[in-house]
Amino acid sequence: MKKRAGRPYADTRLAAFLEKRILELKPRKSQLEIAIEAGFVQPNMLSMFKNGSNKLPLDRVPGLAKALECDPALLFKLALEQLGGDTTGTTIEQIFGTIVTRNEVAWLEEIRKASDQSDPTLTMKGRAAIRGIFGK
Amino acid sequence: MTISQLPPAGLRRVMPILTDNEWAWIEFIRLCSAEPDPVPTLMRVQTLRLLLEAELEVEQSG
Repeated sequence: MKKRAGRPYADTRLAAFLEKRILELKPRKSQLEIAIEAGFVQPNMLSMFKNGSNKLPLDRVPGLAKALECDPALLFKLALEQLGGDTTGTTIEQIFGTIVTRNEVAWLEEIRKASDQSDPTLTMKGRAAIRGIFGK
Repeated sequence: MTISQLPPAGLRRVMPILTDNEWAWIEFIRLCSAEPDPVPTLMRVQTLRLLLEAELEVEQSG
């Protein structure tokens, strides 16, 4: 992870996600409205998460996900990534299992349904199909 | 967090238990997608379905 002076989290996926999501919501609600709805006492906190000067505390995830109208599991996963080498993420996954987003659950359901619940292995063909789906 | 602060039942999430194979599929999807949370669009799902159904057919016939 690259670190810019004073903005150690600027290059994290969470900072990029916040920027994109706030922009998407702009026609309906402002950044200030999102910050207030998320329960930030200082509304500029959201700017600090967005520009990467601060990391998003895990206990802020539910409120912010609601205000951003996004999947809390996704935001939680991105907030865990900001902890870098911290063992918190690994510990959480060891105890509670892999964190999957709603979209990933939908992928899983499709895999289970299409394979008739046969728990298919990821074959070379499967890898090629996934690469093709994402244009890689 | 007190009981009264817990989210209503409909909003609570239970993480699905993944098999090793399912974990491999999800990890590969994460790796190949440039998006943080790739949406399973109709076109993407149809491509995946075609492959899995074909593999299932081969498995059942052989």
